[in-house]
Amino acid sequence: MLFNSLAFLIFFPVVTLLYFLVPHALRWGLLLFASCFFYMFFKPEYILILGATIFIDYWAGILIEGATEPGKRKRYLSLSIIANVGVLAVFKYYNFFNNSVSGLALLFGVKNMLPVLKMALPIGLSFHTFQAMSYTIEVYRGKQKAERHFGIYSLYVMFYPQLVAGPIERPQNLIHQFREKHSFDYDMVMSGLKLMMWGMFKKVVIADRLALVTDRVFGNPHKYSATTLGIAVVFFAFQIYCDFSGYCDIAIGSARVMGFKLMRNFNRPYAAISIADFWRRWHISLSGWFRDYLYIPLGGSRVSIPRMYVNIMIVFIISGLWHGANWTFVIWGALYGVYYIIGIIARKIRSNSAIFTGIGKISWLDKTLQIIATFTLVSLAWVFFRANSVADAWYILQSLLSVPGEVARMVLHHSFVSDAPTSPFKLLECVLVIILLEVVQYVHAQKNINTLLAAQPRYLRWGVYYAVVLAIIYFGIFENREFIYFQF
Amino acid sequence: MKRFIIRILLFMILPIPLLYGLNYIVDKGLQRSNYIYYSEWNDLFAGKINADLLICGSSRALQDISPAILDTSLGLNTYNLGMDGTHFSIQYDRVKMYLLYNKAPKYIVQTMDFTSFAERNSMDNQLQFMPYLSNPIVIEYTAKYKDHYSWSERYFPLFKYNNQWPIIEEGVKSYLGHGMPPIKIKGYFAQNKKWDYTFDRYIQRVPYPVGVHLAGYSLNRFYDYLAFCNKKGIKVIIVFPPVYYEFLRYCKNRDYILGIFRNCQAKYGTTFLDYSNDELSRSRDNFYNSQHLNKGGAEIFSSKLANDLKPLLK
Repeated sequence: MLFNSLAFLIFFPVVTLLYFLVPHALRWGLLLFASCFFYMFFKPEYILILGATIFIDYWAGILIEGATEPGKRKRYLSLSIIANVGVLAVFKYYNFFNNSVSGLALLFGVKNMLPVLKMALPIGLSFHTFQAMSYTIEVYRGKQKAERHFGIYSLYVMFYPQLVAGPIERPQNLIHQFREKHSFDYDMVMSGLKLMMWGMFKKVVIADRLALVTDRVFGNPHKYSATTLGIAVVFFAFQIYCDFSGYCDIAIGSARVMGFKLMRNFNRPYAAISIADFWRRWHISLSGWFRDYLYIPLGGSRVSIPRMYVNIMIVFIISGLWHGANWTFVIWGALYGVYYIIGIIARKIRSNSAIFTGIGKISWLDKTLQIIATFTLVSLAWVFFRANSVADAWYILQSLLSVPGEVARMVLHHSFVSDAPTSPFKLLECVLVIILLEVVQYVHAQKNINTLLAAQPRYLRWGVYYAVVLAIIYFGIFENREFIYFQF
Repeated sequence: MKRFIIRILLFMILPIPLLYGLNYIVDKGLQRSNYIYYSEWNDLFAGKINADLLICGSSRALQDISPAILDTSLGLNTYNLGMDGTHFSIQYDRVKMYLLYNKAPKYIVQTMDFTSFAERNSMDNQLQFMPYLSNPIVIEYTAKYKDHYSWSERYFPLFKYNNQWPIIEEGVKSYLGHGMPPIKIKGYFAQNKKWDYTFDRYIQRVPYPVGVHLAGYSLNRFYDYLAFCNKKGIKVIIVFPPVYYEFLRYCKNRDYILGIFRNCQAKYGTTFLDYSNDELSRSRDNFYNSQHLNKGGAEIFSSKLANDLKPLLK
């Protein structure tokens, strides 16, 4: 079920109302039933896969906790990880590796005989398998008690607000919340609804509006001029941010309405002053997962410098693969690894040059330049993320080199991009919604908007709420567009 | 919880009168507007057309045949019901709806082209019926298309005009009596344009003939339409307006498609006038693209068609 669908508009109030009406002892059952219904709305049969991994991880947790020998504990943990990674390997990566092997084999004149699996990727697979793995790992580390209640454990994996696209929760934060009694809290409900409203605005008004341009341009980049490609690259950076953070806002908000506190997943990522800073602000739950369960176990930064660089590359390449089974994602991940390493190596050079040029003394200018540089690098990396193929991505990146020349010509001839996939008015709409987003986020970063609004008279507060709701209804794009991160 | 429910209900109820009021104003305004999508539907639903001769078809009817020229030459009341960018099925629906509100014409000039039976199950322009969604006839006729109107479009105030600011603006202006002036004359939409080179760009991209897949459903609806007109005593003249001659060689199954129209004569008593390779087709001066005549070309063609129709309408 999509958050931006009529079905969810009915599902959400019904489930929330029932949640507060049924006795506390039955709430887990209601939420589990609702979560199954929510998931089965996409493709019912895939609940069996989810059910199987839940069953394995539930028992793995109990067995790990019960085992006294370290070897046994490790074996049970391995079993759980193999089961989860195995599901990912079959459903997400098998065809990718098969195609890659076929391509390689053909180079040597050998025909690959492995069959191609014709099945759709279960929705949100990477999210719930990672969340499930964090449970068994935490039980193994002794930081989380094994959950004996099968229903509550299932709910930990399947809790509908964050089931298909995160945030990827940790058991310590979520499981105990299913046991707590959440009474109806007016402020919490209102705060949750406002967050959902803002998330929906980001999705249907901003992300889906930008998608009207980016889908066409990235779908056939050879048809467009360098300037149009450049516009699409910038638009995509905001599209994916609004799409994913919009989803997370709706997820966190809908959970908050029922009294649950989910972790924050974004913190103004495009205000980041470096790539490292970007990853502390973007998809925080995934970055944290990779830090705690991959980077640190690999040795993290407490190893030799070359080894640390290797660790960084491993983490980012796997992070790329986590996003999608395609070479474009592998390159996207690897590119971040390279950015990150260069960032470490060049740290001194950057600070010295800031001092040398005097920019370092003007802190706002220094920060602005760093934000622009980071945003540019991130946007260029998104090209690999969004392009249909590596060849398309290269073509776009090469074309972008011609942007300054084209823009100069346009200025000289007082003209505008002639091949934009939409009218200049629609392009202006896109730019305006991006500016609005940034202004709102900037204000919110200075002083919480909810606090600001709470201090205003009711007519003004309600005016703002009406403006957002009516903008969603009359200015939103309703084409049943899925959230980009659902495919992962 | 009580406080919350009261506030939420209040929040939702407060704007409803305003939104329904605005919805009413926009609908009523568009129902009397000359906006490109609505002027003919407005005439049709108001029962104002009552033509002796109807010109039906796609944009090639809309832009290629001038009723004013036919009126003068044939001494009949002619009206152009051509629909831009449409396939045959929705054109047939328009004729059926026309007959519910207007007297039956004696003749229909049905223009056809190579894509009339293309595989499409949409009404092509969803916006065309927006001010008329409370009309059950419209809902009944559009229900079969995949882009038929949803519950929210029909009942939620103004939702159907989502992102259509120029249309809302025109609706309000027309309601206040300041709508746009007419841009069509009796449904005819003259195109005062020069050759736009889209065809040249197309053949650069696709320099080989392409076959048009004919949808069985559309074809059956066409035969049904001819039988329906026959039964109603309406004489149908099938017209294939000129196309720029170079285009012909890029349509693989053109002879087969033209054969369909030719073969209707015996079974349905229709006449087929084929101008696909007319002498008008030889000059780019008469067209603005390979499929559509410009104003000058349309005027020449309309005169020619009027002359050819004369003996047939006796």
